[in-house]
Amino acid sequence: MNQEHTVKSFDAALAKLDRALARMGGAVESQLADALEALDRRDPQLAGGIAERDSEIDRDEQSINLDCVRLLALRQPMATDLRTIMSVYKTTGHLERMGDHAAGFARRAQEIITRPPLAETAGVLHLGKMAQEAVRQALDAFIDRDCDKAEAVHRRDDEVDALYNQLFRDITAAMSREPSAIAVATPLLFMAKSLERIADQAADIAQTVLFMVRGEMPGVNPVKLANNNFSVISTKNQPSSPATDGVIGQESDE
Amino acid sequence: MINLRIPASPAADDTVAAGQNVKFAARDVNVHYGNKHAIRGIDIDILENEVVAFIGPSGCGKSTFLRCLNRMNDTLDGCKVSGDIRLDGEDIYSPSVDVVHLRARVGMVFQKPNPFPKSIYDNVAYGPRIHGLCASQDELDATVERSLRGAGLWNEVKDRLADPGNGLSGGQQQRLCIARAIAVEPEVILMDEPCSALDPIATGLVEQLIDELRRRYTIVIVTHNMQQAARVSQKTAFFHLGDLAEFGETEAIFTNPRDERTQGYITGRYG
Repeated sequence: MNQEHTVKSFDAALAKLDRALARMGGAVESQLADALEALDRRDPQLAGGIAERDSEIDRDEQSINLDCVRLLALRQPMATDLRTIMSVYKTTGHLERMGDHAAGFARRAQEIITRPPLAETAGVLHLGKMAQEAVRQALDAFIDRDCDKAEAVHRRDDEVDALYNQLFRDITAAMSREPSAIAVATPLLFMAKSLERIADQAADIAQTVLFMVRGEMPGVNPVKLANNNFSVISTKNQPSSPATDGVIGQESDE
Repeated sequence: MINLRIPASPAADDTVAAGQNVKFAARDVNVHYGNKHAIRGIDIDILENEVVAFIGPSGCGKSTFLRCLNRMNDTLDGCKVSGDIRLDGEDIYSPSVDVVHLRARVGMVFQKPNPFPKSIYDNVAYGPRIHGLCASQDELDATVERSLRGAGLWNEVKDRLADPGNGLSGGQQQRLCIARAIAVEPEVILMDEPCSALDPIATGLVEQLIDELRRRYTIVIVTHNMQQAARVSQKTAFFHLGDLAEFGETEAIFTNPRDERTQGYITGRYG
């Protein structure tokens, strides 16, 4: 098949969408990288500037989505073109959510780095590396239309979930052992949850890539019933902490 | 992970029982115009009460194949049709078939509205009269009214049935031709680019009519307008250089075609 449209300006418009999405993805990657570095280096100044960048990402989302709507209305795309435009539209939403999570992570990092660190921070940073890798691979898969990479992101999401669940158990156990750690451990739990959600959004982008390239809708993941609730504590017969009751999971947007 | 294909689009009106009987079955249909091999080995099943759209670039053979379905090609010099086309299991090219009766069962609406130079009433009454379908004037009046109502034209013309048919607007003339086609109680209506000469409002009325008519008839429509094919049909056939390149659920054809030629054509990467 001739890869170029008879109307060349349509090719240019689609290429522009790809470039804009890559730029938005790059901004989210950099926001996440800085948020993790702020926690790692315990740098409140770096952490403080990250949330402000979120509005740029929001603007990118709106601008790209408007371009998608314009193309749908003016070009009436079919088949691969239709799937590409719908996939870009969907992916900007995932990136925007990632940006929100990265901003939330940075805000909490700013709060906890003034206090003595918990040992579990290292695990959260490791989870962050995994989330970063998932985001990078998902964006590469999108730009390269590479289903192998997309499937790899999907497969690795289980590892991210496993580490998150482990961290959840470790951090809540630390709270139980040392109630004075709660002030740091609670935000740290939310931060881990943010990273797990970012990786989830990356897996969703990977799923979108599979739809875009193959035209087939990969199966919907069943609702996760991970051990990230208070039953973990209660099954160990450990007292739950008033500081965490009914809090964890509220931020979840699953 | 479970992989789901894009689901088939639901019927426009789910209360309409989806006819699953094969209305037309074509096998290895070839058409030659002299030395030109215009249609190559077409196999297709068209189900009852479905709207099937034929799309493809000019000269791909879609109209030629459409005209095979009521033997309109018989009248063309040098045109040779081979293969097997069955309507309700009956070979329509059998020497025993009465072509006039076949064309009453398989009506046709053309690209350009072509009302007879007669009154609105007589345009619609013409077919029932020559086929002897009505025993009385009252019955004929009822048939004309029913047909014009069926074509969504009755309210616009009921007070001027004696006016000439070609005095109507283009869209009304096309609906008059549809009324003329359905007056003889056909089973299938073939439409060869029925909206290409109509404005968007008249096109919308004809498309709405197609959606209503499919409760009672099987409809095959040739169109160059892919959005129209997507809007009105349940199945779409893409013809390319005389081949039936791809045939399937309309939703799948326009979101995820399997054939690269279809992909190229419907996304505008053709030529």
